Amino acid sequence: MENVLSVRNIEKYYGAKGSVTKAVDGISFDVAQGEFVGIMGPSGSGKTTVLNCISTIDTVTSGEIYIDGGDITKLKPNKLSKFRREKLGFIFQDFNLLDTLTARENIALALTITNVHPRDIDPRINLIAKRLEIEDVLEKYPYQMSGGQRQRVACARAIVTNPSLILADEPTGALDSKSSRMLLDCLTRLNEDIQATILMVTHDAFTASYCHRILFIKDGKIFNELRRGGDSRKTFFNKIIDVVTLLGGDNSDVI
Amino acid sequence: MLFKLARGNVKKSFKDYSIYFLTLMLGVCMFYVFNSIEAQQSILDLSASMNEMMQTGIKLMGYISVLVAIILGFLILYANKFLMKRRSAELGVYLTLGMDRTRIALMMAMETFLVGLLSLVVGLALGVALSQAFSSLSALLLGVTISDFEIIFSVDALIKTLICFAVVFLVSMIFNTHQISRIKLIDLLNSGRRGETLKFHRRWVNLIALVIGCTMIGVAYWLLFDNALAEFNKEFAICLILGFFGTFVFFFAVAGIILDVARSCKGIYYKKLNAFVVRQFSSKMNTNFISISLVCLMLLLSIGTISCGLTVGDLFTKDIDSIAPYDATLMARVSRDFDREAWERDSFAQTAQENGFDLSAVAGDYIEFNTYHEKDMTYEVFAGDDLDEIEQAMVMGTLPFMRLSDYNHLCRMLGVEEKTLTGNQFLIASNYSGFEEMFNSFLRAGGTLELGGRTYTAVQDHIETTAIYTYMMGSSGVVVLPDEAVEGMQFLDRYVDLQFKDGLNSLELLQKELEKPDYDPYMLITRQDMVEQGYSTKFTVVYLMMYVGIIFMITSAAVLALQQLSEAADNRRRYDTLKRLGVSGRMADGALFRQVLLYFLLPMIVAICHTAVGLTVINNLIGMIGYASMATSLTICAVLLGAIYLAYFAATYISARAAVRGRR
Repeated sequence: MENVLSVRNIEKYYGAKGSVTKAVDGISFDVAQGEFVGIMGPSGSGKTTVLNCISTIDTVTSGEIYIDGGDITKLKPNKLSKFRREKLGFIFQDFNLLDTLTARENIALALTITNVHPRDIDPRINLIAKRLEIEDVLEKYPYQMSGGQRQRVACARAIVTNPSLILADEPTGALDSKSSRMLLDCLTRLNEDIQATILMVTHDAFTASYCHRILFIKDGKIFNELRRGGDSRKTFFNKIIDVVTLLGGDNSDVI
Repeated sequence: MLFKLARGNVKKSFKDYSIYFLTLMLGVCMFYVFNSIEAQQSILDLSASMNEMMQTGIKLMGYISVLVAIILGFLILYANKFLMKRRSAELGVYLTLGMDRTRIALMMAMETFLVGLLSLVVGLALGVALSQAFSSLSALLLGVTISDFEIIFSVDALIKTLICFAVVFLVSMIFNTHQISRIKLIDLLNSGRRGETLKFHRRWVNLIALVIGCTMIGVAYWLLFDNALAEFNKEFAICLILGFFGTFVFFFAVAGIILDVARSCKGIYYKKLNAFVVRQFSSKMNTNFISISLVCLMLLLSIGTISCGLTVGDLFTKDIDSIAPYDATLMARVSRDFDREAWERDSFAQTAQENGFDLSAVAGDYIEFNTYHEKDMTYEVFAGDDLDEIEQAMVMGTLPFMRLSDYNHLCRMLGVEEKTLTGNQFLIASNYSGFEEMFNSFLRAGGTLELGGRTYTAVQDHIETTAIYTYMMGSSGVVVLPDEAVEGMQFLDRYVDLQFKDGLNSLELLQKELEKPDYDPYMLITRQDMVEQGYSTKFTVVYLMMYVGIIFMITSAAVLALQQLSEAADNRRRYDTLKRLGVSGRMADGALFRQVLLYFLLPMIVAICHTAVGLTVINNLIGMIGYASMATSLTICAVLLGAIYLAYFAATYISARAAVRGRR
């Protein structure tokens, strides 16, 4: 299967000669089409930096990132915006949706900026809304929805442009357990039904247990990888907890 | 330490302070310019009486300056409030660190002082430069020349400006401190997190409101045309009230309607960031519809006063030559206890002779004549049916008659062709443009006059526009009859028209003579008087209206700017989301630009609509007094006000963009 994402030895340094911070210190990994991959690590491990580099929001100091075969580190800024809107979909932790637009318009935004023909937009939205069970909130404003509904609308927006890769940054961070579960079921469904490739960053073991594969990052390096294989989610969850415990000792901050 | 912080803050937040700076600077500039007009008197070639007449105008401007200072003060307070909101995160940090509230207040005071000082210096510099140009404008308005060009500088105005600035600054500092003492730290830290609850009205509410609003405004327009500002009566008051509240209702609904219209136009709505821009604009406008309506009305006042001011001012000087062709006119009205014999005997010439005064010593050419009237004959005999209220009142005036030989003497004095009348012909002479149409219609229709049993026909089908005396309002109209026809008519007034032999010297001699009690019944009107009065009134009117107009424009633009900028933090979040979705910097800038543009454009468009209607009506009204072309004044107005509005728009966009991009 084709690799949607190939990260080759990326490094990200901050600061100048005297005081250099290595946020990312030589990370390489691949994500194949249809995979649901998670990146786990404590705060400050560099996982968000990795995500930002992959999502073209930030630039790497060295290394290459190939998405759909193309090296995005070589793209010019205006091409980056284009790339982002056509090939990527986003779900962030907070402030996903524009508060002045209805759910429908929020989802439509992803399409209007890629110059999809206006008459094709509503049909596509309706389709995805049905799939994600958010039909009844389509005409509501964000402040009228629950947190879980908002994140599902964000999912819809992320997937409606048929991106090559969906990036999720702590999507369950601001949700209660029930909404978290609904969101993760939603992502799982997207992954299974339409083979959406998802790369999710999280610090929460429960959230991570929904992935097929997890990369553990510590101090800017990958220090472990777990594959779910045929495990049940509960088993996988326990394996994750074991790895996290290994992280233990000098890093008790798992929350 | 505090000063260093303050200075650093100002440098960093310069873009945030731009509106504050612009408003203060323009305020200071205008304040100085209009208060320094007094200093212009030194270089303008003015007569003593002219100087005196200007004093009223200058005093009035002093009073308006107080109003201006108050308005500026409010604007600065409003701007301060916005600045604090913008920096709430930063203030939160200071408070969390444990910085004293007084210290914070002091630091902010220092910042505002620095910016204020800069705007004071720049504003004054600009003001001094402008006031040079304004002296040329004054010369134009007063119809004089600049005697000797030198840089004028008014220390008086400078001092006034400094005092005003100091007071405004002090007041704003007090308010600021009060505000800082009241903020809660938790609110500051949370201010970024909470989104706004939006106000979107339901569709049917908007539709009904729009219909009501437009109807109210439409009716107001109609009433205005109908009433034509003839009287300030109940109708006019209703018109104003309807227009005023109709505007509010209109703005309550319009944003929602624009949104609904846009949404139904999927072809446009679902393109690029159009949905986002329309939503931004509409939610902002809905929340602020009250202040936007006020801004719109202020714009109306601003545009209206400046364009009217120039036009109305023009009125006072443009017809001088035709209404004041004689250097001087002496006028005496028939008194209540009228004695025909005494009147006939005590002619001006007779009185002058008794006093040993030789009129020909002062006047090259002169004539003394009487006018007459017939029983209760008024201008009504000429009146058609379609007279408005002003005209209806004026035609009740007594109709004067005069002798042909006197009229022809006047024609000779003016170098105009003399007239001949047969025994039963009459001629109308009038240079009052308000009656021109009425007379000409009457004559063209072959109207006749019945006098003492005889019918008189018109010698020609149009009026002669000769003035028979020098008078502010021009001469309303006099019927010229053959000399014999006037015999036996009642006396009305007596006039002595003269052209001076030796300019001011003659005038002085005449004035001295007229101080004697024998001349009490006579009123002296000189051309000089009228010229000076005309120009100084023009001067006062134009400057006052410009002052008011400009200040209102600055206020309106500043309020709009501050409202747009007050949601900088919310905007930042939204544009960040957009950027993450893959919106390029250019697209985002474009969206921001359009959002700000729409917000500035809509109240301006409505204001221009109102103004257009108002000006048309006023133009018709002025036609009563004398037609004036509004083209020049409208152009000047457009350029001047447009420049200010544009400057604020540019500053708003730049500030907003900087806020959205973040201090990176």
